[in-house]
Amino acid sequence: VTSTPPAQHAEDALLIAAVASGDQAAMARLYDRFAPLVNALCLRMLRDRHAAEELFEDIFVELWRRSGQYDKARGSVATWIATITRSRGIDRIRARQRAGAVAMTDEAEQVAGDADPAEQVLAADERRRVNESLQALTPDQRRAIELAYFEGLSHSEIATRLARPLGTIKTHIRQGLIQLREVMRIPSGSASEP
Amino acid sequence: VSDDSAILFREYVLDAAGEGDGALRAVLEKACPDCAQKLSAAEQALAELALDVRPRAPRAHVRATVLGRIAAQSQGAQTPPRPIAAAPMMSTPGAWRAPQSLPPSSPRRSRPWLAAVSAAAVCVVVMIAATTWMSVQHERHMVALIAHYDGAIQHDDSAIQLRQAMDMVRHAGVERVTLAPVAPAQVTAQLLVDRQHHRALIAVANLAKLPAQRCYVAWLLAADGQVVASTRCSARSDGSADLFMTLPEADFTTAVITEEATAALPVPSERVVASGSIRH
Repeated sequence: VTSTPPAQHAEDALLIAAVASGDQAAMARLYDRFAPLVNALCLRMLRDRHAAEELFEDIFVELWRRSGQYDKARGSVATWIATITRSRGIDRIRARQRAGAVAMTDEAEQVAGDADPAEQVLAADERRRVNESLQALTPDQRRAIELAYFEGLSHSEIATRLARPLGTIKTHIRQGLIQLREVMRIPSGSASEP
Repeated sequence: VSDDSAILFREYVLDAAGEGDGALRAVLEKACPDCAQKLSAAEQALAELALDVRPRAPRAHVRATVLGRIAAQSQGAQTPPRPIAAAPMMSTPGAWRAPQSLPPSSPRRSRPWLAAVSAAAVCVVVMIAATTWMSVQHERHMVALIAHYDGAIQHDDSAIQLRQAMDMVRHAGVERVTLAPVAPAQVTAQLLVDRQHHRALIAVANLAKLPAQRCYVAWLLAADGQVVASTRCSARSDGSADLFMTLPEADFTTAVITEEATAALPVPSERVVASGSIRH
């Protein structure tokens, strides 16, 4: 990826607009650009290659249908797609829990270790910026936030998983979010951010 | 408020994403566009966590599968609807023309199963209508409550209270009881009972401002009049108040709000503001 992030964001917005107009070639380009990100998120959340692949396919079909709903003012295409992926992923996780499915494996973590740098879809400096900010968190803060974000666990479930008091988990998450405030900036258009 | 609420909304997104959020968002967009925007902003901000995940290409064949599904959907959307009865409307094989008129109907025959199917269909329609009506009613209450909490965002600096209230409002299993006003008559009060999480909330509006040394108290009473839980608070400047309680183990049948002296005995006085009965 050679474009600077703002230019890339503008390109992505044009691409999604073309998809919204029914351009299947644009959809293929959108797939090529974001498939590695969506696939990584699906694997990270579901930790099962087969289930992740099903979710992955459904998400791209949904992106085709919902591309007209993308609102540039609310953020980048990448974060919009990540939000949809996370939401659908959590739906699957909860459905699986309701069905009493078997415990997750760590397959995703194994396969995630050999990612090809050439597949990286996001600008390197953007990833580095997020990564550096996450490094600033304590391991407990980071673990708690990741469990909430990627596995959709409630604060109580995280407390149970990590065998920590609920109040401690709430503190970790709140302090972690405050720590991340700078990197996880509010997109333009919101009046709530200082 | 702004600094706290930004973190609050992020906490909310972390704790509550999933299929139920569509409904919450729909309600928020109607009742509080600013809240919906903040929620969306928090989601977008947190989505940047995803950028830390190392990209991983899917298996090669998946691309063809996905694009094939999309092409099929796209083609399906452009395909003209199938005619009701094919034979009279097809002039040449494979060519579709709009029907000029319906084919003549065959003589009516006795169909004993038809009555049963029709009755079942009517039942289904009635059930759908009833469910829709209940859903609309529920949404109407939700809109009112969320509008109430929008006011709380503006007037109250307690983001934690807002979070608790939002959590309760959106929780599917919450029971709602409207309390009848006593004095002043314009008071509105709703009791929300979340038995799963052992908590209750009485959301009150249009309360009078009280002098110093006086406060409002919410009581949960057993059938014999014994107090099983209580909590106290003051009204905000806009006349609203939220009284949170941990649900007691003991059964309760009545909820009452009274006006009390801050140093009053732990039993309700005669100065009742609103009350209501709880069915079990």
